[in-house]
Amino acid sequence: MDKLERYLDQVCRGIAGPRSLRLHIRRELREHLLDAAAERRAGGLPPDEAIDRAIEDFGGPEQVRAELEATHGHRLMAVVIDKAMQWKENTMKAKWLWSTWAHLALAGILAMECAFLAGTFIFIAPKFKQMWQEGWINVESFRPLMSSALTLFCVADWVRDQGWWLLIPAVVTWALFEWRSRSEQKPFVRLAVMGSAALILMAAVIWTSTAIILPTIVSIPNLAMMRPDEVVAHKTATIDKSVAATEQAMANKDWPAIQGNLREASYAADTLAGMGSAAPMILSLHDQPKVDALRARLTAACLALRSAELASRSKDSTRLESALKEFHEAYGEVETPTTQPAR
Amino acid sequence: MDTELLKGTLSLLILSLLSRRDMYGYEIAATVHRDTDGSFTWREGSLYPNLHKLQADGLIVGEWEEKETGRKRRYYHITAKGKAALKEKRESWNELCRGVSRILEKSDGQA
Repeated sequence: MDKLERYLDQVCRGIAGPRSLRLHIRRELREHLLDAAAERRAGGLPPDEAIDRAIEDFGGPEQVRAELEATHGHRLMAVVIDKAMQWKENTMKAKWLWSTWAHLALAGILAMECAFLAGTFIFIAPKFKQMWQEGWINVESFRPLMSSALTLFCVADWVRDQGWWLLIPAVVTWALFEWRSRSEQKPFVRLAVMGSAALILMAAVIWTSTAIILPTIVSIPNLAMMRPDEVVAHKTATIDKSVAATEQAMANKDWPAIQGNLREASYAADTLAGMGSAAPMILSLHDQPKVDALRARLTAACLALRSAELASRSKDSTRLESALKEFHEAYGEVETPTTQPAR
Repeated sequence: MDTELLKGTLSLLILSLLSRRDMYGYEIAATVHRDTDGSFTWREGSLYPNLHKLQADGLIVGEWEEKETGRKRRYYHITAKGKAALKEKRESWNELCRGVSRILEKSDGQA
């Protein structure tokens, strides 16, 4: 009977006019086909075959439909639906096209998310952390965000130090899946995994953005309001403190402490050299040659600190001492004018 | 028999059969099959567009009726206008048959 109803669907759905007319024609044709099938059954045919024969003798659905439409007209909606179904048949069968498109789109999203997170953790997070530690960002105003950022840094540190190991089982599992799985559902499983990964990374992107960008943006007015002489005093104090701590750590051969302190000192010196064009000018506005000399010494101090940092990484005491000596020579002359009060 | 020839005469056949008595679609098809000893081979689906056209022209009228079998069927009966049309069609057909027969007879004589 399903066969009969399908046939009637094909024949009647395009007929124009009210629904009642289509129902009436459908009913009339059904009665005819049931009579014809009954007669064929009486002639000895099995029921299914009797229906098939009755439909066959009635005519192909396209022909009968065309003749009925020639009499009653055809529905525009049926034409549109037919075209849509035809398009669907042609397009949906191109499974590879949709599958490839979905894979590429998800891979693109994953790549962008990874690039954003990597860029943030490599370039932005260290600077943000330094600014936070040095008090440039007002922690009290954004305590919830700061605790979020702190957790983020912990996670980032853990991922940097340990997280790469997680990639190995993940890659092995993926490779095994690609190699061994022969299931028809394989593309869907792959898409589901990629989609889940994209979702998790999106959460990480939102978290990172919220934890780093918002406090920075909100702190910008405070940063702008800071007086240059205060900045210079703060930086020089950081340099002094870090270099003193470095020298103390050198006595104990505490290489991690040496590296950490030198990193802090180097960052502060870089910042000072970067703003050197403004700060010393305020302090000695009418003495340009002195400003140039000061800037040159600051740069030399920076280079010496970087050299010391490299020496500390290779745990070369001689080179480290020599670099620190160079730093003191260059920086000793910088310290006096930069810490003078503004006039 | 050539189905194209039959197509042109289908409305005449329907009107003629309905002039005997009211009939439903399948009954018309079965009667044609029986009365011609199965020599008319046609798609039964062609019957309904013709029936509907004749009804639209007011030559026949269709009504759902429940007969002794308990099944509802759409019975068609010929109208007065249909009877007049049948008369005209019958005359045209006879004239056509005579004309065609004469031509065929003459052609046969020369063949």
